[in-house]
Amino acid sequence: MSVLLQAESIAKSYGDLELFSDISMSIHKDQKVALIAKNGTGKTTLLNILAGIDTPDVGKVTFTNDISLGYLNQNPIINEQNSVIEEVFNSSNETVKLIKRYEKAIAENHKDEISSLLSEMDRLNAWDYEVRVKQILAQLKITEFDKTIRYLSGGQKKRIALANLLINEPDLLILDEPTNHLDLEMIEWLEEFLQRSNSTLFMVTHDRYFLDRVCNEILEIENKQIYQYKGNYSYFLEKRDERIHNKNSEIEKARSILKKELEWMRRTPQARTTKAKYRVDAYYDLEEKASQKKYRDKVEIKVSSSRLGKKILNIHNLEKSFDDHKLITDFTYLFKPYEKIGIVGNNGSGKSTLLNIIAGQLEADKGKMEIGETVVMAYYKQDGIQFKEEDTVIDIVKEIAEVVTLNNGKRMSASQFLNYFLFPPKMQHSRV
Amino acid sequence: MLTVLIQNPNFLLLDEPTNDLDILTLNVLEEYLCDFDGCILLVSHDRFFMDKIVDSIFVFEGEGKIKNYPGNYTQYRQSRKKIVQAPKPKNTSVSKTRKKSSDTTIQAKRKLSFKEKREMEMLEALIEELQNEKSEIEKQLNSGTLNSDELNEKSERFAEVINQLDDRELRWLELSEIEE
Repeated sequence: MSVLLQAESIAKSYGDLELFSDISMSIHKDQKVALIAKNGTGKTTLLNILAGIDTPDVGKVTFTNDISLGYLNQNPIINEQNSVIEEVFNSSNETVKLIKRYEKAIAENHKDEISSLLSEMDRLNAWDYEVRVKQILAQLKITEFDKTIRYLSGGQKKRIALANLLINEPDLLILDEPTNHLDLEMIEWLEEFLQRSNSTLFMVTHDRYFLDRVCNEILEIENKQIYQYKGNYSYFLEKRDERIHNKNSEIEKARSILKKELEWMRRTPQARTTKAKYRVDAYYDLEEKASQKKYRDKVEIKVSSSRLGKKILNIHNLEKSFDDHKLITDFTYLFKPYEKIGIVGNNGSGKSTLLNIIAGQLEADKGKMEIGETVVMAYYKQDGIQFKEEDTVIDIVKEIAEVVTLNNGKRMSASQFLNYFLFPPKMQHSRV
Repeated sequence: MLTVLIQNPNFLLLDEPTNDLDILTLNVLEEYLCDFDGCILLVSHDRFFMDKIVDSIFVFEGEGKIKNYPGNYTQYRQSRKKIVQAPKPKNTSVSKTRKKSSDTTIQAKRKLSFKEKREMEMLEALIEELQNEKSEIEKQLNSGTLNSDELNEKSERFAEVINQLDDRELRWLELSEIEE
């Protein structure tokens, strides 16, 4: 297996914040690698460095000669002035260029142009390629070829950048969160597409089905170190568990040895002669090891929810449309206690509208809604809550509640609650 | 997210709660939501997340129709795949004339999408081109003025043209059947 890309002990910091140091890794041909790490640990920075957009402070990245690289950024860089067709078929590949001319001729219905391109298409054997291109565009729902990029939403732009990459079929594909901005159907299609793809793959994703079904290797960055797992997500979970278990018992062992050592240190101050120097040094080593943070054990807590009566939410014959577009017609549903429901539908089909209506933020055109007296509703939407920038995390939470009541009657402070959701005290006092 | 959970609600409405969360945090959130004592109605494009938490699905089927399916997302997809696959063999085995009379099949009822209409118009233009080329080659082949190399080349091209014509006519037929 040939190496396509290699990083040797690279490090990167922003000011005081060290993202990672001494990271070495390589990507071999035909590998499908995913990178997993907590937020804020520099995943995107690492991708940027590997893709050659950013440079490491220390270390170096080497590419194998002659490989083509495609990089899907979180915020793809595309020319706002171009039309969709220009961006989608932006390529140096002859066949792709030809298909672009062909598609354009069809879209504009230039019969003469079409017929002259036909033989050209035959010559380059472009028909199979053209079928594939059509499939990519159809699946990603890219239709308005002559629209200018500038008028598109962020999600559409990202889909166009993705389509362009898939059409170009580079040797190495680097993808940063490819499933963001895709609907469920597109995600399923992309999953199958990447499984079959001949490109070598390196991606950051939180989609665990991708990790499990597409990837055959997982890299994890934790505590600025990189860990390698030669398998998919299931394998990763298993091995990660083992690793943490081993690490914990190592720390445990170090702690018990340390206890004895501590006794020895205290008992015999006169023993700290040159002869015992090695032992003192060893003590400090040990102290360092033992003071490492142990991985948290899982905590069993539940925030108590206000008691729920029998009547929850009854929706009768709900209707809602925007202009002529019907989003909801004649929808009736009686919610049962403790029911957990997921909503599925294409983008723009009205999923968020339904939530907005139930939350009382939007008026329905027709229909009736009865909410049970015991119901305490809470609504979270992606960009719903605006925070004051100068507030710290803990301020915001405290503004709502100082103390959280758990369902076993125990109470927890706002700070403890944050800690449970993986906001350590240091982070709680940082600004949003 | 936390500011929502801290209010002790018993009915949660969640719109894409998984965006911007890393896998560890996702796991904590999932655990919390699975044990949550109350109702949840959630929109998410994370299939794994949905599978773990929900026990039924609302599907927006277009035209404002919302249907309730029991089971989680993967179960819903699997049952839908079966439904989509089931009528297909029926369609191909039934002869064309019978298809017209049985107007209940899903495919027959469907209207052509804009893209398919465009494809059909395209095909018509293409088929015409190919037919022209075919008759042109036929003429040349019959003229008897070609040398053996040219003859070989032309007859190869002839076969190719016929193949392409076949493929495109078949696709055109497929599309025209949808329209009916």
